[in-house]
Amino acid sequence: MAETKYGKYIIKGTGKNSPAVLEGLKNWSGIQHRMKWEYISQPVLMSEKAHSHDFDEFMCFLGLDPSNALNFGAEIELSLGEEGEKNIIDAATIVCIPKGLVHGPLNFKKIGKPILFCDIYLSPEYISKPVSK
Amino acid sequence: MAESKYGKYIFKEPRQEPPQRKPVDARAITLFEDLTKAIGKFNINFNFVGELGPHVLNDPPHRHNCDEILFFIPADPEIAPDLGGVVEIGLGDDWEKQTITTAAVICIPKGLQHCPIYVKKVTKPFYFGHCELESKYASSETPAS
Repeated sequence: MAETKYGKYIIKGTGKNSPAVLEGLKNWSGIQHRMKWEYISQPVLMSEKAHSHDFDEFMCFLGLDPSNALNFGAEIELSLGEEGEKNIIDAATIVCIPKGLVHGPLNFKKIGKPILFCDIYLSPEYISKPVSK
Repeated sequence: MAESKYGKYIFKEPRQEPPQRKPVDARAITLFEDLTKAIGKFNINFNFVGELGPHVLNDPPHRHNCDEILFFIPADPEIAPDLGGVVEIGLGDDWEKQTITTAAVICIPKGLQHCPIYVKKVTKPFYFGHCELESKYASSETPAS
């Protein structure tokens, strides 16, 4: 097949949770924001320790029925702030985490129906800063 | 006025309700400026749309004054990374056709013309979306309100 001019802009998935390759991709035609996604089908404790970073992050939670993404069957606990305020996510949700806001752990506690978790962040590199006690 | 003999052959303003069709897409979740105004301004807008059936997206070829990512996410983990459909997208001024059949992300650097997007086939509904680095969606075809 002939080489295309714009094919370099496309990253195609090769694994179950693709395109994980976007994570850690430092140079992508100058694009400075990144995203990754993951299917969550069983309870899992993700991002165990509270942390923050120097860029904005957006966590997206949605059902796996594209005809009705609001059809959501999971319960997730997200701690926010240095005091670790626990917030429950039990509907299709976007969480906006401005730079500097401490967050985590992220606990997918109950998964009745598998969901899609998508993380968008405004940095080419995901660098976390641990919370100093 | 006298009864017309041939008026019955004339049908003025003929109309019929369009046939009911299955929806071809469904809005999922969206980050837009007004949603976040209580907590501050973020330099981003994005959305997820469920793609349910073949159609051509409304967006004509356009470009942005900022960087953008387009993404295609299978909604069935059992078939991933297969997308569950076939999408054609035109990239560049010459509408170079790229075909997407798997999970994919496309970076659209500022100024790069893109679209049309043709969802050619859907065997399993999937998610499509954009993520643009402006607080409000705007393009050469859609000025910010």
